Amino acid sequence: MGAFDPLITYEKGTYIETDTGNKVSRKATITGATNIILGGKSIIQTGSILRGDLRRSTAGQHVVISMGRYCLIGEGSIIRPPGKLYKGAFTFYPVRISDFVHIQPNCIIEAGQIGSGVEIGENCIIGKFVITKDLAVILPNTVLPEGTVVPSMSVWGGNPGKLVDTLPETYQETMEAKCKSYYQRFRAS
Amino acid sequence: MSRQAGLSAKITAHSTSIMCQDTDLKGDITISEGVVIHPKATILALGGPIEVGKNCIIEEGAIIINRSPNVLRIGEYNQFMVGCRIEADSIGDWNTFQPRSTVSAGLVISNHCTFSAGTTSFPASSHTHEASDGLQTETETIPPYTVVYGANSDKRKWDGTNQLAEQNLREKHIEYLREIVPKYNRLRPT
Repeated sequence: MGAFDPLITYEKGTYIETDTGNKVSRKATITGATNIILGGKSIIQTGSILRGDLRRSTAGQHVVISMGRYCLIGEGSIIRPPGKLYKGAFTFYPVRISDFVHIQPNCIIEAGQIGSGVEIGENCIIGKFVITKDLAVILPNTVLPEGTVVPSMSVWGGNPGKLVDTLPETYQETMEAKCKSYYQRFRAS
Repeated sequence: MSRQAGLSAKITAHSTSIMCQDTDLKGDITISEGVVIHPKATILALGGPIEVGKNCIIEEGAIIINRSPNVLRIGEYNQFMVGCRIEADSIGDWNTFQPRSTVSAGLVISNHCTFSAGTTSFPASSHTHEASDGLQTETETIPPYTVVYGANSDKRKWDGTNQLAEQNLREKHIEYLREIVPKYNRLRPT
């Protein structure tokens, strides 16, 4: 997080930069883009899949994936909305991702809600309707089963995921600084 | 990719099946009625053909491979979830392959089995015959209602609680997918 951290560069033209500062890889698979909201200054890396097409059954506009600011979707990660039966009909439910969320490469996310300042390590599988509160850390290779609720300021790991540690009170500032620094260092070569 | 360069796709699909354009299908593949194949799914019939039964769901990142010269028959109402890798010899009905589950060759999967997220399954006999010259003919049958779970891929039996509810969910799920997937994705002509 220091001033001398190395730059993370990508080849020019492989990412599209929007007005609000989102950087989206051209090689990311984004279906149903009209149903996805990016808050700004978020990065979607190569090979990730965002399933915005899996929307609610009722008519009208629906947000399927909403993402806050300074988020990162790592390479090869998959975000898809969870679905279940409600009053006898199958519907998908939206995925809400807050600000400062880092999702490392090769994760499979079917969560319902991810709070702000959450870091999800590599190769994690987050099951359907998992709720992750603010400032949680999911260690790499964790499998969180359906419907798990991760409280704030906690560290989870293992298969099935269990609480393994807690975080210090200063963690919010640490995480925000880390996310901002990552965004600033992620630029075209 | 060069390895499969000579392999042409011979796909026979039922008119009610839904296959997205952005999928990797290679070899001799038969798709039955009502099957939904999400974008970025992979089915490779490298050896013998693959026959996908009625109303299966194959999600993004799922890989189904048949390397043996025999037919890989997949039954009805199976769900292959995100990122699973299946090389089984045969698959029955109503099985669930959860995200990133791996099923290796030499396994015969019966009905109503669940392979939980992140588990790996391989025939027990391959432990002892690891040094053999690749002529592994032993197969292991996974009995019905088996659940493979946890970090050590342990097995136990499902007592069938909520089976009707689960089946109802699966039926409604695929019905809804057939309605919603064509609205946002380009499909392969069937």
